[in-house]
Order: sequence, then C-alpha cells, then structure tokens
Amino acid sequence: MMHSLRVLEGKRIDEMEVEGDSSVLEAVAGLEPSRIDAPCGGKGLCGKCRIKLVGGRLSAPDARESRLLSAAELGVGLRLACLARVEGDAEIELSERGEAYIVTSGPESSAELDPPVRLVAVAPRECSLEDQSDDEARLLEAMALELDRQGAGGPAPAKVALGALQGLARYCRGGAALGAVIADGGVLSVAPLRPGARALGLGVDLGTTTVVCRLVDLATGERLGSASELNAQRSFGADVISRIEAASAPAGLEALKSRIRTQIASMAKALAESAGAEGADLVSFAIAGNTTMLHLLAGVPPDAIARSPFAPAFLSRRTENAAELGLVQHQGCAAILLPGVSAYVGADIVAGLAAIGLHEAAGRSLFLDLGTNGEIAFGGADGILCCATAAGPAFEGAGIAKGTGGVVGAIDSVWVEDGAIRFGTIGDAPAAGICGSGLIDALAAFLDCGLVDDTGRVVDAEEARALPPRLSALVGEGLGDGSGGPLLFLDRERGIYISQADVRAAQLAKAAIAAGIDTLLKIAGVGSGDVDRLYLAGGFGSLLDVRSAARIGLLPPELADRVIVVGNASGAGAVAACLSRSRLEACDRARAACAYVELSSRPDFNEAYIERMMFPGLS
Amino acid sequence: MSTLDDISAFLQKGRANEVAANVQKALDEGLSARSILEEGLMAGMNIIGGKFKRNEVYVPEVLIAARAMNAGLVPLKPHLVSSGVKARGKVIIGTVKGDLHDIGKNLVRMMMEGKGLEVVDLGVDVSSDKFVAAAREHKADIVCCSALLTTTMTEMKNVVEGFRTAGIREGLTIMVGGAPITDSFCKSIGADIYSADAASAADAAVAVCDKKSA
Repeated sequence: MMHSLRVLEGKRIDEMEVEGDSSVLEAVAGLEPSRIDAPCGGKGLCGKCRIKLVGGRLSAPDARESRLLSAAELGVGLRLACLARVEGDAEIELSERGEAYIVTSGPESSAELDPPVRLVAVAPRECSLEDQSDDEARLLEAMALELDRQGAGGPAPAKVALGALQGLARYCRGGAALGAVIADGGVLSVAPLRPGARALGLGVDLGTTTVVCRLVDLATGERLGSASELNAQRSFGADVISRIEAASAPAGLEALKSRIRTQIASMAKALAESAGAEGADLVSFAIAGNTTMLHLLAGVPPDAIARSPFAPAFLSRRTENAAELGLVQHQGCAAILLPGVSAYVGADIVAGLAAIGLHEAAGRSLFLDLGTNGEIAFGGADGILCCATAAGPAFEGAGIAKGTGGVVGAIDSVWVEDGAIRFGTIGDAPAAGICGSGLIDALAAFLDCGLVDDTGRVVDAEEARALPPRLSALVGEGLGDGSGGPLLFLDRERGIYISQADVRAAQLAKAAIAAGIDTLLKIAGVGSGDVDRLYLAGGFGSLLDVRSAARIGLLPPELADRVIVVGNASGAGAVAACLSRSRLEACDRARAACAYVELSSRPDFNEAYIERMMFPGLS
Repeated sequence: MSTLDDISAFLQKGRANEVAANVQKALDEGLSARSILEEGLMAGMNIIGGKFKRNEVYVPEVLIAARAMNAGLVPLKPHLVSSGVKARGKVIIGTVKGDLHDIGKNLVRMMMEGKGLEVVDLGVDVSSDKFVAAAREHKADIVCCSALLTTTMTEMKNVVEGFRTAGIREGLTIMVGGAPITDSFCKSIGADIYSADAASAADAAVAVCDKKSA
C-alpha cells in the first residue's frame, strides 16, 4: 500500500510516494542531499533523528520512542525518523539544519611545484610515407622534448595507457596540438588541446563526518577555493562501524559508494566552475580518507575492518582513473588514493603526518586527531608509533542527551566567572545543544566548582545545598526513569543540561584517548614531560580549549603549552600531494615510518584506560 | 560498627588491605566463613552494584571494589573450603570471536563473583568451539557471551548453534550482553537471557542458579 509523504525543510518541499510501513528515515533515504542525521544508524538508540509531524499520521510511538522523547516533545509532534513508520498520508517537517562548522584550513607548505599528474601540451611530428613510426612513439618523443624544455624532473613517460590509445589513434594526426595527461610514468589520456584548457587538482579530506575539498591550479600552484560538506553517508550512521554494518546489508555497499562518489563529484564540479574553469579541467584528485571511507569509495567490501584481526583489502597508494571511480565524466583525470597504515590508522592520518613532516622532524612529537576514533601518533625522524582508540561519539555530540555537532547555537565554550558558570555558543545564537568542546569546558568548570567530583559523580541535592546558590541552582532532578541521574543545567530556560550519564560517556571517551597516549609513550619509554610538541589535528582539535582538556585529563597537563593546532592536516597533505611529487612520496615515507600498535589486546592499555576514567584531583 | 560492616564499608571504598585485615579479624572473632562472605564481602559488592546501576559510581570504582573483594577472599578461602561453602553456580564467560572488548565482560564477571558465583573467564576473541569445550569441562550452569560491535554480535548465534550441535544446549542457560545487544536480538538467536548492565546480569544469573538448586 502506497502513501504520500510531504517533506518540508525551510522553503523546500519534496513529495514522494512511500511504501506503507517504511520508517520515515527509510522513506527519505533517497532524497539528495541526505537530509536526516542518524548517528546510531537508525537503530532507535540515540534519539537524534528528530522530525516533526505537521499533518496526517505516523505509527503510534512505541516504548523505545516514548523513552527517547519526552511526553511534551511527543505532544508537539516531534518523532524519531527511524522508529516512526508511515501508515497513511503524512506531512513532516525537518528542522532547518544549522550551518556546520567545518575546519578546512590546515598547515600550508611551500613545496616546489612538481605535480605527479599533469597536463602537457604537445604537437607530435607528422608521420609520412618515409617515416611510418607509430603514434605512441611520436607522442612519447614529443613529450620527452617538452618535459625537458620545462625542466621537469623525473623520467618522461614510457608508454601510453591502453585506455588512451583510442584518443591517440583519433587525434594524433597532422601535427595537431594535443593535451596529454601524464601520471605514474605513463600517458593517461590524449585529446585535442582545448583552447583555455587548465590543469586543476583537488585535494580531498574524506572524513566519516565531513568531506573537505580544496581546488588548486597545477600550473601555478594557486589555491582556487575550498568547499566542505557533511558526509552524505551519515544517514547510515555516525561512525565507521555503523557504515561497515550498513555496507554489508543487501545493496548497502552500492548505496554508500554512490552517495560518496556523487558528493565528491558534485563538490569538484562546483568548485571548478566557481573558479571560472570547468569540470573537464580537473586532471587529478588526491584523496586522504580513513581506511573504511576509501574502501567504500572504491566499492570494496569493508567488513573485515570491523572484526579481529582487522585486515583491510588494501592500504597502499594507488592511482585510478577518476572517471571509473565516478568522480568526473571525462577521461584523463587520475584519482590518487593515499596510503594508510592499518584498518584504523588510515590515509587521513598519514597525509596529516606528511603535511607536518613528523616523520622527518627532530625531537619527539605527539600527534592527535580526535574524532569518533582518536588516532594517535608519537615519534619523529627515528620512527613513529601509532594507534587508534575508540573514543566513541561523545565529543561529536552523539550519545550525549543534549549533544550536537559543531552547528550554530551549539554551546562551544563554558567558563567560570565571578563564581558563576557562563557559556558561549557558535554564532552567538540561542543555546540549542552542546558540542564536544563545550562538553569538555563544562566538565572542567564543574570539576573546578565542585559540582562533579573526581570520580565523575554529580553532587546530590544535599551536597548541592552546601554550594553557593548560583551553583546549586544548576543542579536538577533526574528525568523520569532516573537512568540519566541528576542533571546540571547550563541553560535552564532552554532545557540544556549535562546529565550524570553524559559525564560517564565523556569519562569513557577521554579515558580512551588518554590511555592511548599513555600506552604509546610507555612503549617508547618516555614520560609526557619529554614530549617536545603536541600537534592537534582535525576540526575538534581546533575548537578544543587545551586548558580544559588538560583539566579533565584528556591531554597530559605538561603539554598544555606545547600544543600546536594544525587544523585540517589531512586536507593539507592531500593538496600537497596534488601539487608535488615529493610531497606525494612523503606520504609513502610517513607511512613506512609508522609502526602500528594494536591497543585492544594489550593489558597495559586496558589498565591505563580504567585508571584514566577518573578525573584528575584538584591540583 | 561490627567487623562485617567494616568489611563492607572498606570494600566499597576499594581499600584492599583493610578488607583483608578485617576478614582476618572477623575470623579471629569466631564469625563463620559463610557470614563473612555473605554479610561482609558480598553485602559490600551488592551496594556497589546498585550504585553502578544508578550511575552513582563508575567502572573504576567497581574494579577497585572487586580487587578489594579478592583481597578479602585470600584469608577466607581455606575456611570456606573446610566449612563446605560451595559456589552458588558455575558460569563460563567470554567475548565472542572477532571482538577484543574486555572491560564490559570483566565487569559482569566481577559482579557475578560478588554474588558468590564461580566464574571461568575465557577472555576475548572466543570461538564457539571454545565456549562449548569449556562448558563441558567445567559442567557450567550458565554461558555468558559479550559483544560490543554490531559486526561481531552475529557471532553469538554461532555460539548458540554450537551448543545445539554439541547436544548440550538442554539444561544450559545462555546469557548475552553488550552495547548493541537487545532483548529481541537475544530471542532471535535462541539465547535465553539478555541483561542491559553488569549488575542485572549478576542478578539474573543468581536467579537461574538458585532456581536450579532449589
């Protein structure tokens, strides 16, 4: 039985016919771009995929939905998209998504311009009855001369790829000017040189949460623009494990693959056009993504990544035809997938390490990329130890009652002033939730004020009475079933609080990161005071208040003044790989320098993990 | 306060040395091994278990309390044996194949030990065959399977199948738990009991064993 579903979002209205008994989440899955965030992958666990029923009807809320939404919320028509099922014609409203705050900039490098993939304009000599040499030989000869004239380093291409022979046979006639794209010592494509043709490269940071693309001119090295979006796969879940699970469902891999391919392709085209060029001017992509994201992009089943012994299908750098990956329409564009270390330390980390040059740096450096999985690297020119630790999504707002991503209205900073707790929001908008940096600040403030003790327990009503009134006023009763424990309100009017259960979730997350650091330093045989610098990469690392992070024991306090915030290091590494062969090879060298440490089977990690769940006492 | 109350109070604070000393003191006072175990050590663990369920204490406190309980058991063990105090039941526990998560499973083990059950811990990445072999060897009443990943929870079905194929499914209780597990999943794979947290799992296991021995 089919029903009609109207989906309203701001000024946009979509109407669709829906098979009866589908969930709302399933029903809107086909909409592009994907419209509803479902951090738990639509399993009815997190309560974040909220929609509003404004007309018609949906299935009555079941026990799970009634637990995740309050009676008041249900009363105004709020529902969970993954649990509410279409039972008749209905009209729903999606909350207008706040602008996501995504860090696009990273460490800039001044690498020499020597792109690994480039467009070369050549005019091979004409053939004649006397000289019947083949097109390939004449093209390669002209190419060698041209590259020599340009003073390009490295050997000239030695062959024309099979896929380019057709173009060669068709166009290599009469001394016409040709545009040939070369990569990896071969010619990828041959076509008539278009007037005004440019050679553009795109560095892609393909994250589980966000996708950041940066466009560069390969002839001049000029940065032409950047774009960032939330990953279009996120309605399949917030973390890599839920994506892997989604990929193993029937047709799941195909859906995830086409989502991300379509997204990158449209970002690439839009960036090229806004730079006054066209999509066909793209000659290379360098893609830094975690191992799961690269598997999904390549359409390779990632399920082995989720099970011990965690062996992915591929890790080494590879150069593919971008058209075959569905990223462009034209031939003659290479997609370089950057190399990764292991299932959980992927090309995104390698590109970040290469961008910073950690594998060549003097002294001892610690590198942290904090997200759902916290990746940690430690070392320098003598080698790098790296590991990944499952921090869980608490710092990305999932699994936290009033948690949210870094969107407008998210409380992103909290501090103590004149004995009271104050907060700021992204865009100075009214508080709508709490993002990761706000959560960490809030915990640090609560610890300093005695609202939370060093075991992570929120004060009870009696203890609260002993505190100054402006602090005790923040303590609230737990919700209905008491599962969340007592609440600490940041904004009582808007109902924004941190519950006891939220504090526990944050304890797990910070303990995983801190224990990962402890374990790597222990293997290296150094103390945290011996670390010369701490690089914080990723969007979360840019927003994090280092003092608060040290206060709650997420980072070693000794390193608070040795922090270097590097922003989107993997994106910077990807752009550098587009522009310079030596920087591309730096990714391979950084990867080779990395020794992966599997934490989950180490007793010392487990011990450190438990020890680090506590908060440091007042110093 | 009585010595038994002291044992319980020190145990809740995780003070291993004081727990051991007070167990010895209680023995010297002539208290029975059973009452020291039940009204001292287990009483303290019960309070911790309840607080853990309500989020008032967390994983570290439970682990520290369990360590203190083990310290108290050292001087008590010989007396328990000589006075014929037996475990309430025998449990096999492990995290399923492909999954290396340890801590949730350890919490369940400690809570169960705190309730007077004997627990054989097979560790992590445990195959169906290993579960079956251990249950046979130890004549277990209960088998507990833990999984923290949606991608490994399906392995629990293989464990249930393994017991069926081995012909020892009858009379055995299979319990499942871990973040992605639900009651409906438990039923769908033919397991017996799902518990949402470590303290509830221990309560359920005790109920199974007490019913069996009644």
